[in-house]
Amino acid sequence: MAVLIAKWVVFVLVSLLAIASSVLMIYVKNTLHSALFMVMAFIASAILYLLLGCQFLAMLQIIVYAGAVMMLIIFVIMMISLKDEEKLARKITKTKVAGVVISILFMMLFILIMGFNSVKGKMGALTSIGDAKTIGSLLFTRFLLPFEVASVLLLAAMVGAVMLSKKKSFGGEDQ
Amino acid sequence: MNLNQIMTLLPLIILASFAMGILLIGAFAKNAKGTSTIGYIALASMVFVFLSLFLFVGKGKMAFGSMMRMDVYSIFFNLVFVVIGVLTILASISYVKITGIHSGEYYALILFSMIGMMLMASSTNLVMLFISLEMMSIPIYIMAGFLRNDDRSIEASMKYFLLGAFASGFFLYGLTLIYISTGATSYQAIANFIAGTQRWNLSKLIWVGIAFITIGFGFKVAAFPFHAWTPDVYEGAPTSVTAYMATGVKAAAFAALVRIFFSVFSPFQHDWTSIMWLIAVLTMTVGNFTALVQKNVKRMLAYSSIAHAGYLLVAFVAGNAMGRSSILFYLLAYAFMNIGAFTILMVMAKKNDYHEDLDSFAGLGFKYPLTALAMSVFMFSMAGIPPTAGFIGKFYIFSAAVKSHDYWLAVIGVLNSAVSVYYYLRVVVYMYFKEPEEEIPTYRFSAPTVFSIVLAVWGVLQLGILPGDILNIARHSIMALM
Repeated sequence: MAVLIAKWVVFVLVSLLAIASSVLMIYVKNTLHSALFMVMAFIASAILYLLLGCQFLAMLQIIVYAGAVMMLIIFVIMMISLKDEEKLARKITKTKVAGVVISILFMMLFILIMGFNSVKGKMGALTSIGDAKTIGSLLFTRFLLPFEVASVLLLAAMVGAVMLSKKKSFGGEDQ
Repeated sequence: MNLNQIMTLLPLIILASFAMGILLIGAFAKNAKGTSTIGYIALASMVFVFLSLFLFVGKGKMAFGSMMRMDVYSIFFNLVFVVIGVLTILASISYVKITGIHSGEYYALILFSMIGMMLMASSTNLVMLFISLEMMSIPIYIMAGFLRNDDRSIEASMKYFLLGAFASGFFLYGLTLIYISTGATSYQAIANFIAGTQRWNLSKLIWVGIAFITIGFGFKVAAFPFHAWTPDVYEGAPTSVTAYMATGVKAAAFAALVRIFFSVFSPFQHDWTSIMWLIAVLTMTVGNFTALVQKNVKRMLAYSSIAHAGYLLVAFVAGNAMGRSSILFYLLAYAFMNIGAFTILMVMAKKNDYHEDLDSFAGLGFKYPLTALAMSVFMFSMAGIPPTAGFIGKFYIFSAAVKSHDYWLAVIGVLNSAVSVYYYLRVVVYMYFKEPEEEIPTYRFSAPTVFSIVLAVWGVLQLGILPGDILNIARHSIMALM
């Protein structure tokens, strides 16, 4: 019982942290700060995975998202100058108002819908895919096709990134 | 995994191996000649895929686990994608030369995104559906930005990418909500869960999930509240890519939409029909009325593409067997007429001067009578004038609406179609009845381009005069879905 209550408390705290840091990520003016809030949101969701008993997913979340992806984003922010864009971002107040209004409406809708009947959680099914062994075997049996297609997708995305960022414009005769 | 399952993937394996092969060859063939050779290799892959589809005919349903299924429905759509691929690649070969896209990666990306389209039409699992949607979209985001000297192209790529990522977020959230409320990702299991549960015991999140999925699809087919990106992206992207995405993405999104909505969410048909009704009417009206004032033909075709999404949604709302099979027929017809019209625009494009405005068409009928004739056929077909494919398609769509006793929808659709005649025929009027203000430049016609135009004209007339066979196949394909 005590463990359950402790879990529940941690869950509520971490969820609030995740939501708060996501919101701050959007509204903070400094891009670097917003990147750091994103790290916080990633780490909070890693803790949520841990609460569900998915150690492997939690580790992946931290290594891939909080580690690799964040590094890239921070590199990009540091390499390109965002001063003009920051000025532009301050001007857009109408969109902000619209965003707040829509968020509130959406929350109300959500509460209304959830109020009708509670969602039947699928915790039982989820906890069994937490460790590396199960994920690995699932990827090579049930989810083999999506796994393979995802690899082709990554190849296509990589080719595209190279194409778009290549320095010399293709085509000999132009410029 | 046995041999049968690998066989199911054969068309995809062919596409993927050709695409990777092209990437390798592309590294050594950087000049214009090498690029057109690669174009012919890509064309060969289409032939192989086309031939491989015959292996599935008459085999019934072949499934890859719960992930995807090759049934008659998938085969029909794969055929549509092959048609789109052949027409686009043929038209691209000289357009790529004119605009200076000397890179084999262009063709590789076309093939990559076609893998996604084919998977979208045949996937029977939410996980597969999402990955195939991304597989289709990401290469197209890239291809939209291929004219790197043109600011409009970069803008198109960026706009499409940002909004597309946003729409993907909605789509993924919708899929998650469906998973939360049913505990399954395969279509069959979800349908079983919904059938086995009392309507009041179902979580309300299913409805929210359906709404979110609708937003995702609405973005991809350019339906009304999610259409704002369309004109800019279609105008800015290279014309060959515009032709490819206007037809291919639309066909793939409708394929997945029809499959998931009519096989999984059919118990809720009554609920989503009312919303789709409004979306269909607004999509048609907004598309057609905005197209009226366009001076740029490429932009006009972009708005007309929104209007055509509206007609397709009319058939979707009608929801009966006739409506569903007319979606299939119309998508094929639309592929022929739309790519045909864009190919004419590609012929007229010069480097740094694309000749896309209406004035460029003035007097074209006198200097290039055959080109003007082909363009007229495509315009007549889009306007829905017999004896073209567009007429038969619209006829079946509106009769499906009448058959489901939705008379208002049919009336609004026909009125919209009448409005659209104005801007389609304006192009024809410019070509035949208007003196050119300046000298018409010399357009060069390469063999593949001419072949592409001839093929498109043939398709439009064949489907318009003898639509029986294709309609039968479309009807059978729909039966396989149930």
